[in-house]
Amino acid sequence: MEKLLLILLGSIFVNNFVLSKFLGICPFLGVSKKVETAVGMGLAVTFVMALASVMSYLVHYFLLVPLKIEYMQTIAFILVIAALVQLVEMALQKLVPSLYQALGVYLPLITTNCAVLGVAIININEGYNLLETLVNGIGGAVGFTVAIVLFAGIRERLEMSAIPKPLEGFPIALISSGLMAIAFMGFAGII
Amino acid sequence: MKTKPMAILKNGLFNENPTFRLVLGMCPTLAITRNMFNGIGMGLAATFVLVGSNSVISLLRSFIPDKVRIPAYVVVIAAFVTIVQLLLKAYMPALDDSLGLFIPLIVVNCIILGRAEAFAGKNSLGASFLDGVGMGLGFTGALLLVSFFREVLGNGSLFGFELFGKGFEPVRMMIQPPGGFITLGLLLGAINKISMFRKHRKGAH
Amino acid sequence: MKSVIVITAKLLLITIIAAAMLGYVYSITYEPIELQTRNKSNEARFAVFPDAASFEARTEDIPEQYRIIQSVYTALDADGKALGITADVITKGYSPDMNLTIGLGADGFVKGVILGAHKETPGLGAKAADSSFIGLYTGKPTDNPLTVVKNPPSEKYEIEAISGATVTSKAITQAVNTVIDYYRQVLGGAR
Repeated sequence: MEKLLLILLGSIFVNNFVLSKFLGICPFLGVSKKVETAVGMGLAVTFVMALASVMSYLVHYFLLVPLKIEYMQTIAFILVIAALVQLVEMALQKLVPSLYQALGVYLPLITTNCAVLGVAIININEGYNLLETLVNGIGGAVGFTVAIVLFAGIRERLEMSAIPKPLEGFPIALISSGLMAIAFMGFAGII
Repeated sequence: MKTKPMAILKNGLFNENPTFRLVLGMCPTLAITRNMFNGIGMGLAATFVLVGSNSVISLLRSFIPDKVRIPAYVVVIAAFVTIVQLLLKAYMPALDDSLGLFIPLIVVNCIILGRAEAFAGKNSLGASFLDGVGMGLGFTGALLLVSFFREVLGNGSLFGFELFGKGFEPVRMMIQPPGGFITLGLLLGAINKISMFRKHRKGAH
Repeated sequence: MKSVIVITAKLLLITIIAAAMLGYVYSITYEPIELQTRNKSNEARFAVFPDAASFEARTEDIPEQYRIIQSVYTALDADGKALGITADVITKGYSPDMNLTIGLGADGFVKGVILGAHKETPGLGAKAADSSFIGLYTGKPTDNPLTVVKNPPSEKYEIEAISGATVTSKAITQAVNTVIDYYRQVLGGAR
């Protein structure tokens, strides 16, 4: 139980997937202009990451290992993720069409979100069992959501500030993320 | 598309530089640029995959059904990434250790899928090959630029060679996560400033 | 309906060809990869135990309290006489997954310690890999536990911590003590 809590807290704060592990940067920079979209994206990613963690765990241990084709891991995992995202897209379109519209083109882009493939691989590398895998998947996604929502809040403020022209857009976004990363470094050593 | 070969190459290097202009492939750019060894390693690995996948996808562009083109592209890209993984593990374990998780993550590097979709799927083999080379070199150049600043300022070394004496206290933060964000942000800002300046001068004439 | 079959067939064909290609590359690189993994572990063992001629894996189960110890090898000289042991350890320093190889002599002294893969902070805990720190363990007596001090050591059981990296220094020392304890109490060595 203690290990699960450590994994959860670790992946949200100490080893925040975005600010410490550098996973999920593209959506972090792309979708974080408004807090509402950021929250929606965070929820979608959490769902996908949790499912993807479990599915890739099963594929690895029940398909790749018995057949001794672990080197097919990259192909297998990315196909699982692509299929999952397709399913989530179709489900959202039917069940929560407003969210589907709001996320627009960013939904299929979850496939290329390095955080999703990243967490699947990390779970295997760390040797987590199924429960630990699920917790790490959820924790990583929550960390991603925390980071992108916080960042959206900052960016909404930045919109109204006077920024030197060359730094407008991505440059100032990156520099602000750097400052956030420094803040999150303060969590190191808690666990 | 009758574009001259040199134009395609230069496009990937400058006008549409994937890192500084298209702002793609951010994850590895921020993560591995702690030192220049990583920078050039990742750059060349990604270029290999990019050239390979662009070429194969271009060759198969009439064979691949449009409805499943993304999954098809992904399979091709993942195959090349796995080849790179195996080759590095076998012949360059030091680079494999250093780049770690980001080697398999090349498969979700938006530059590669992006070029497959935007270029290789619609252009000839020769053009796609060159586009892969140009974009790959553009990416590598960007990686080297960012890692140059991070390694020199954050570790006092260049490709592992100590530059300054024992007394030099490097800015340790540069090789940690914040350093990556801030370096890239400032570089992007600087490049924006330079291109604004050049546009201004062209306009003034 | 026919188009779905055609599409699926084409996708499947591409995947099969990709998998076949990979299988081929895998068969070529299998040997070199095995070699690399073996070299890495052997390298560390010879580095901590330079006077050994060969190493033999020990097969005993390791008791729960020594669980940081992953594997133990007996160091043998050219005549097959046991000179001591080497132990591969994975423990937590400032960050988890700190790999150490520790060599202990039957003569009652530490033969050497090497820091392998780790996630310690560059510039602080990572400095433990430098011979100026990790070399401090070589030649230390093993009849009493080693302790970490912040000033230059005044007696032979003391190790001077890296300034700003006390946690890492203590973790390494603790790991060495654990292995010493295992060697002396469980394996009956260094009597």
